[in-house]
Amino acid sequence: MKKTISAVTPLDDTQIRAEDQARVAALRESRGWRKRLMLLLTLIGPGILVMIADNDAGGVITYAQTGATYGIGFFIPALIIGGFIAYVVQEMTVRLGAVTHRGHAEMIWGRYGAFWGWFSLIDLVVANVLTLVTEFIGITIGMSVFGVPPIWSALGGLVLDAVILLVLRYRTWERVSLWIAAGNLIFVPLALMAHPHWGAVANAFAHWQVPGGFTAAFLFVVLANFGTTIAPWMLFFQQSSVVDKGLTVEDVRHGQIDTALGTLAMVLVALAIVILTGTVAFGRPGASNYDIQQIIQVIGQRVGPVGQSLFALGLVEAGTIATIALTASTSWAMGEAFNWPKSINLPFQKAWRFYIPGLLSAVLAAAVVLIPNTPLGFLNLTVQVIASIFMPAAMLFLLLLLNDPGIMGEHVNRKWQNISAFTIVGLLVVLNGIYGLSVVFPKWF
Amino acid sequence: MKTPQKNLQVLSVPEDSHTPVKLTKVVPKGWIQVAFWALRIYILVMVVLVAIGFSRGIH
Repeated sequence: MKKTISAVTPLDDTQIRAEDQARVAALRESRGWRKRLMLLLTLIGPGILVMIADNDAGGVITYAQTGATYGIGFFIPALIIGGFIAYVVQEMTVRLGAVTHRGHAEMIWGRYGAFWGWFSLIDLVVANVLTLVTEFIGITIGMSVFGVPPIWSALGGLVLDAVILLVLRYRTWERVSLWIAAGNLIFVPLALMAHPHWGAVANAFAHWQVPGGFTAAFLFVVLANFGTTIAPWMLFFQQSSVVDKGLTVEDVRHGQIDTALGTLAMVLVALAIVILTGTVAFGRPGASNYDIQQIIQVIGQRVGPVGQSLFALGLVEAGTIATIALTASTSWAMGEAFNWPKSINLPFQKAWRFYIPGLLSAVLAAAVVLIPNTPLGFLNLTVQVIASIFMPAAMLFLLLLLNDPGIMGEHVNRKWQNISAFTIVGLLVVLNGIYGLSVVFPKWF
Repeated sequence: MKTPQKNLQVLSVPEDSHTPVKLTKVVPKGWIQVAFWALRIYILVMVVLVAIGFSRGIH
């Protein structure tokens, strides 16, 4: 459904969103399993998108390198635990958004003041831009397998991102993004094509042990995997998406199902990538130092040219869906922070201040990737360091808000949710702190 | 093409389920105040360490 301006266009997006909410209300009042299924399909979206976008280009590369280095072992069960952690965190954003109808950035500004508002906004935008750089790296590397020069693949990603954001209203933007996200599942049949040793996969659960001992290199990989499983932008994206979609307290249950489905898909794909490279690359000389181009080459040798093409396409898709999500995340956060019109339902003429920051961030990231000799490794490092500082703060705000009866009413966190969430925050603080230190002072480890 | 406004009175969508919650700035007290101070200290320490690390040239 295309956005246009008509003579009776309302100035805000609430009435536009009311159409979607009316559709949901009609389905909720209907009976029959088909209507129930339609209701579910209508309400899912933010959770699946955020989780699939979390398997971004950087994530795919991290998982691929993890499998190449450590094979099928420790990380298989660890990724499942990571999925559970991601669900616990992201589910809270569903409730927060559905109950308050406000985005995460908006909540921080309004509840905790301008200092923390600016701190969160600057961290988020800088981290998003740097993460977008890694997405365009993934897109250009993936498309290079098909002989497409980087400038065309970067431009293509940029144009796709801009067109669907500017032309489509939220509901259609979300549906199109979900179809793109479905491409992330390509890694599952690809893992099967590698003919993994399923006994080794089963053994990973039966004998869960640290491969090669608790070394600094192992810690680094653990933290990289953990860092890619949950990131600050995810909190902001899903909550804003829930708000823009118009979900209410009646939709929380479906939002939880949506998040669970997304988590399942995310974990499945992450496992598939680790199993794939754990099967085809692990044990080869120098495998622990393979970069993504070498991994793609090995996949081509072991699985065949079709397998290589599928992996490259998966990498392009991962970069693309994350670009879409990160662009929207930046736009929403800026719009919420400065109280601009902030909905994907609005045409550009009415919400240009909302669209431009997100699109500019993507343009900047694409340009950086195309500059020769850009220190991309350094930029990637900076993202991880920023995240190590920012994530505990983002989690703390989330927990404070979810435990605030003044805004959440009866939907405050239950005891088990607080126990899980505070444990996760504690773990994040320790791991992020260690990770930041290990990056900055590698000799300490 | 954007659709014209439909008659939404046909369906019962509670008005107050869409209204954004009113936000007022909270004054941290008790454990929340402790948490915010712990966060400030954590951020300060991490920023200082990162600055030292970058000034020495990380790789």
